[in-house]
Amino acid sequence: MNPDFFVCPLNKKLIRTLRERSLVIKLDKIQDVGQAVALEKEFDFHIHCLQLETQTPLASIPFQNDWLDVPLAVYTPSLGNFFDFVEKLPLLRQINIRVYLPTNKKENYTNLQIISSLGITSALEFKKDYLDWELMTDLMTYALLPLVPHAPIDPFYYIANRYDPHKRNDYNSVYFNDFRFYLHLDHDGRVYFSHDDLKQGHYIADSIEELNNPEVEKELSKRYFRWTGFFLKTDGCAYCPGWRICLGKFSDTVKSIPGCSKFFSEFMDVIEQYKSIQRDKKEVWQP
Amino acid sequence: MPNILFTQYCVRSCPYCFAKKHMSESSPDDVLSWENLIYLVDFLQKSGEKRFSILGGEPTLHPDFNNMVLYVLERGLDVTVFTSGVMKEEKLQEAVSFFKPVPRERLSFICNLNDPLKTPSPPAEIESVKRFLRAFGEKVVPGFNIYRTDFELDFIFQYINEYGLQRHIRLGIAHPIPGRKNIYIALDDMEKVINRVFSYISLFERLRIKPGLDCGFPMCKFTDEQLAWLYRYTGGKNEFGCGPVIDIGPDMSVWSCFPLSSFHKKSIFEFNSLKDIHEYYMHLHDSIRIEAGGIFIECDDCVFRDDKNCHGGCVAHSLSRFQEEEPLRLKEVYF
Repeated sequence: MNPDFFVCPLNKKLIRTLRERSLVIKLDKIQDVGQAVALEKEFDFHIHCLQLETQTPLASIPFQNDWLDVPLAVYTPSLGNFFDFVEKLPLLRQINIRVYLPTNKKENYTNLQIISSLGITSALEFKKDYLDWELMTDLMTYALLPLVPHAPIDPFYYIANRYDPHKRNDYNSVYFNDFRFYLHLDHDGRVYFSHDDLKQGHYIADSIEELNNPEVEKELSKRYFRWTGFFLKTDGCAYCPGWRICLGKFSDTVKSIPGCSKFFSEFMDVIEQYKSIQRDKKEVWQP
Repeated sequence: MPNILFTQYCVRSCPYCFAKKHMSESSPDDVLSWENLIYLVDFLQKSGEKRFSILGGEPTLHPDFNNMVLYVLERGLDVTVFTSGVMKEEKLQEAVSFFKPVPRERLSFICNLNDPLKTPSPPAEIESVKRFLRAFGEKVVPGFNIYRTDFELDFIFQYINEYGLQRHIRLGIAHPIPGRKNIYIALDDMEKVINRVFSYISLFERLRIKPGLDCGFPMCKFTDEQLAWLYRYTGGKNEFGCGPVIDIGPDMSVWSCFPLSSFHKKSIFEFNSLKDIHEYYMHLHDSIRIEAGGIFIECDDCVFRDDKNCHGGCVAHSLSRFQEEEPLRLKEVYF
């Protein structure tokens, strides 16, 4: 098993062992960006992205001019003071950034529209206990069927551009959480399939070197076919047309916050419209 | 250029107010939401508009007024705000800090001023207006609505000089609101009003201030001498028009202009572009003019109206008249 990317904490000792790998480095302080960039110069690895999780609102994050080339995934709770945000816009538009806003604040559905309409790529971070499927539908429609061009809003844009109605369509990569492409490491170099596994301490290998171990391969195969479990039950997700995109991600909230099935079914209709608009776009021959 | 209503309530109660009917039928809690604002900016940009015109009620009463204006400017549209200038001090200070560096070509205010003597307001309100004028001086075009024949413009000349406002006065004329009693200039008084405006010629010239006529002035009530002066002094920039302005409410309803706020109201979602909306209401205006060429009986045969040099005054006069007659006209001209 050889995934494309490893998601790891900012740990010099660990990172030193990850030569020639592509890394998503998790930061909890914006001030650590400089340190991560310095490590890339010191050791021979590639920064796929710096994943910053902060409680500071977007408008208050002190972005700097010398980060223009650093790929950033910023998980922030809110947009913050609008005037401060607008002051930062010229710089934000130049930075290689995707802003993640969580669903636990209703205004974030609108904030994502604002951010996107002002040219900043963004993404919705699903918080399972705080989902508003109606607002999500509005946001998804805005993301895919805009009146005028705006910056992408994920995971809608991500899925729409990769959607295959005959396959399972997973958007976990938007959150570095698709084990086919991303594996997670802790400070000691233990390997996990997902962020949740990491939080719960369920690791699959003691180190990267063990990833080719047949036991790990077996675990991987088991994980890969875990989706079939949905179809062994005769309720809910097994009959849901939206499953092709959702893949059962909301099966545990479907009763407490209903609406996911309607949303994902509508999502598929909008994707079809989106695709037909893309198909109708005339493209001249390319030299 | 359409007007977008940020709010549907106002701190003033001007006797001539043409938004009165619309506001009385709306909830004061209806303010423009961010989602609707984003849609409207998208819609106008798709329609090729470059300017965004903000109206109320009093638009500055919107709790997010400053941020919303900032957003529209960031989206690349130039902004005009129609305001009374009555703003809470704290909000005004915030607005100054936000907008002072914005050039006046990108952001301007049309401040509708009332004569402190003829249309008295509470002293606190007058102070608030003065504070606003002092703060935004060169970004402000003073506006004045004429609803009586003995109006005076001296106080506006004084404000322009005192606060450094733009040297231009937007002169509006109060029109009837079909289906509602309001104070407006009767047809017989049009000439008096025009003569009164022209009694200020020497001040306009001496102070280098240009008058700008808003919609609904009938050309025939100006003498040739007055028209010649207007042409010479304003470079022929005045029109004698009446057509759909297009107002868009916070709930995304659309209508032709405030006096016609109940006339064939639609939803913006029924149209694909501003051009579609304009064509829809233009067709209705044309229907009204089939029934009555203009506000005067002579309008029907007027060569200047045929050539569209004058639109025959405000259609609200004709619509008001139709209301009082037997309903024998084209069905489109009724509410």
